[in-house]
Amino acid sequence: MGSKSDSNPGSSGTRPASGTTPAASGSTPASGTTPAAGTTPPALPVALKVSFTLNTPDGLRKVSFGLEKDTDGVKVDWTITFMLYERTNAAASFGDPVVSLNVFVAVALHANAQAAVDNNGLTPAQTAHATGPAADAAKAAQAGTMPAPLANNIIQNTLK
Amino acid sequence: MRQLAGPRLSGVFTLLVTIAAVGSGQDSSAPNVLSNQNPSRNGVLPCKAGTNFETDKYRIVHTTVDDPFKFLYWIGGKSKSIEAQLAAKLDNQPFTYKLVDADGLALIENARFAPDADAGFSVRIELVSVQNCDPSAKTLDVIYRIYSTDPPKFLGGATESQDTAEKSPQTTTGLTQTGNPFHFNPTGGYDRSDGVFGGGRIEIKPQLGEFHLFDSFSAEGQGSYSMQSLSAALSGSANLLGWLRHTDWRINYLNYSAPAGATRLKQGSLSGQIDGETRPFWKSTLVARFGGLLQGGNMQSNVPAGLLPPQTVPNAGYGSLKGYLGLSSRTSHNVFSVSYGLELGSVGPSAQIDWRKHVGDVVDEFWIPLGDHKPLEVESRFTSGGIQVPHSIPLPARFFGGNGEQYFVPGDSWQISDVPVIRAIPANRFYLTGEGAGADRFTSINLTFAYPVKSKPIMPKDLSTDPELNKVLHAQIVTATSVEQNYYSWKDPHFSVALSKLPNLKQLLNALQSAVNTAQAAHPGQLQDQFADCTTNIGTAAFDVSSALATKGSTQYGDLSALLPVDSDDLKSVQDACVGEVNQQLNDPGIQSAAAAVDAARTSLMTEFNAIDQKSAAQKAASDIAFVDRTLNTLFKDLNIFSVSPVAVFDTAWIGPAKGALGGNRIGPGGGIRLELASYVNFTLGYAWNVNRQPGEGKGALFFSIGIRDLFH
Repeated sequence: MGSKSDSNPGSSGTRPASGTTPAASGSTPASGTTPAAGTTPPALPVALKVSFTLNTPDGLRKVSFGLEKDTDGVKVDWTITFMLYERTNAAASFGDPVVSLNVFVAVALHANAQAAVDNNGLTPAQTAHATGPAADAAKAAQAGTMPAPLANNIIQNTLK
Repeated sequence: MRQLAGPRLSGVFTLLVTIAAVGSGQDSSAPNVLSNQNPSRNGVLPCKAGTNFETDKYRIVHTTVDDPFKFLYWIGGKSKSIEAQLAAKLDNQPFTYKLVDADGLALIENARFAPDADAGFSVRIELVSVQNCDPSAKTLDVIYRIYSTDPPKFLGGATESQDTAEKSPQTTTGLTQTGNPFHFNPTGGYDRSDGVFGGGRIEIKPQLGEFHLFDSFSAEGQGSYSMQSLSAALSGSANLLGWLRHTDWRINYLNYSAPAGATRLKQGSLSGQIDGETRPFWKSTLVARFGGLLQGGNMQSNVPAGLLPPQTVPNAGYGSLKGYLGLSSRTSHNVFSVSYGLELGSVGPSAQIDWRKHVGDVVDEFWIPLGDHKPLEVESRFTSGGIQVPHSIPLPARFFGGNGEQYFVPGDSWQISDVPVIRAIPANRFYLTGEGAGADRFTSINLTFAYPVKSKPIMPKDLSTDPELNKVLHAQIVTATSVEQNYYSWKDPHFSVALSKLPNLKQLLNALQSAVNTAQAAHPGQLQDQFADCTTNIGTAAFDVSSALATKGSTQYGDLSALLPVDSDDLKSVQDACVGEVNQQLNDPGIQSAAAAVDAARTSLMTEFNAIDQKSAAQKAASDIAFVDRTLNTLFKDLNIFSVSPVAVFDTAWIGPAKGALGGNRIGPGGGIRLELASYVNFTLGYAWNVNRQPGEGKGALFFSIGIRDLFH
């Protein structure tokens, strides 16, 4: 299988161009200004990681879909941490993940990543993609039957 | 097994002091939440957004870890340990994003704050923030906030799950400690009938990982100079995905001996029971429950001559069959259950029905927030029962009232009261009727009002009102609902029809690939990128098809979705690449016909997929999650880890047949104080007056009960 055309840029461990400034900007008082007595300024987020662990109803597959938002104060980066666990029967332990991948999220999908950790959560289509095609692609890449960039793109498509 | 009713407290100033010490200890060891949000910390400097603290060469002064569930014994221990490790690693070090993000979070993740979820859904949130940035000294503080939850899909009946949320919030959030299968909870109390009693409950619940007929063993015992009780149960359960949502079954053993005024009641029995609970219905506010129990054993009493009612035997071997059903409801500030039970009993080894017992029990609890985490709680219970005796009945099977609660069936998941409860009269001492000892009918109403004058919320206000955290908490429910919805969509018959079309689609994709290969061979060196795109997209679609056909579970839904617009629309990508890019220029008839066949198959697939009743699937999923969502909301927004509440009680109970001063109505107002320290201890101490007492009855009764946290956790 070849590489899927017109897929999302910025995959396969290549850190894409960074996104926008953190949402917290503008809401924080000027640096060094001591707040009024009795009030305290909000902490400034520099990283947020949300991991959704999705178990299939048959108990044979578990996907940990993590979204990590990092900032260096100026730019924002999103990373997907994707882990797939499988077992042949529900009696056995999942053990170590079959696949463990980190995928940098393309800038075009940053808004979707933010939405996923905000009020929206993961939509039915996103959870279906994470436990289905994304998990299958990750597994295929691990087995060497699918190029890693293509697999990473399919994993990223969870956020579409 | 008889238990002392609702507020049942015991004398115990020493205990009060001890508990107060636990409470204050808890308070002092509690996390400072986020230091920026602690109003007691004045002079904390803000951190300016847009600053690169690494290139500006800031230095880390102080590192803290905040977890709302730090009050839990095992999470608190891990939290402290991680905080110490992070402080050793970060404090006084130059700030780098790698150090505080990747390295710091790796330490936290390795600590495994949440159990590994092997079923359902879980979420873990880690938020790293900086605060107290001093631009002159170039120093700052780092704060790690951790939140994990693995909410169980099934929480039991509404009133019972509310009780669990109050006394064991870690169970509701799925944060019970993994690994240790042993649980032990000491219990104790005082009642004038039983005296000071103590005991405990042990539960062994191994992590079996697969279905077993029995997955839990529990035993509970209490004793005093005048009362002994022992019960044990072997139980199992299963969560189901049809209209029947949950079922559990138990084998129970019970043996008790308790005073009842002039007599003593004894019972030994073995029973088997099975209960079921439906999926929520009627706007996800109601669940129906039903069950049955088969019991055999013996009952004994040493009733004085003259007190034995007609058709009543003091001692007997017996067998009984119980059936029970009910409805349970949970809304945002109200939990409600109504239950009915019927017992058909026989004395000795007989198949005839010697007695019939009917019990109706209605419980309601609502709470009105009158301030931040200061809800006015109103608990009410209406219970009524009657016994019909065509032949005979053992004396202990009749109704004996007082401030001891007794339930129709064993277990915590469904508590149907089946005795008249009046807290102004000691346990089992409201029993003399016009016919002798033990009533054959009763009605009781119990009201309890409580308002916390001192409280500490489970989720501190600054956290529960934090918009960022609230968004993520809501997102977890949305995600959990999405997972459930996909399952129901996968079960839809239209999905099966769509799936049946995939083998043909696979052949059509193969045919298209052959046509593309033929065309490419006929045009060497031309349109190489376009041919590559076409081949890749055919390969991706074929991969989806193969995955969907290979997978036998609900992940088929995702694989098939990937072919269609609902997801990445991989079949359209095939058309775009092979027709739009390649064949627009080649106009190859082989590609044209093969691509048209694939497109027709896509249309057919889409028609079937779009016929899936997504609305119904969404409704079922919402129903599945609704009770859990409401319970978690209550836990985070209303419940306290620590509270001291004055309590007012009012009971009225009637037993019959009444004759003169025997039987009839009693009224018992009273008051007391309730202390709750979630996961540590809870108790209620109070006194209720028997305002229309009859000869031989006391002026009132002290009630006290105490439950102590699981000592192994």
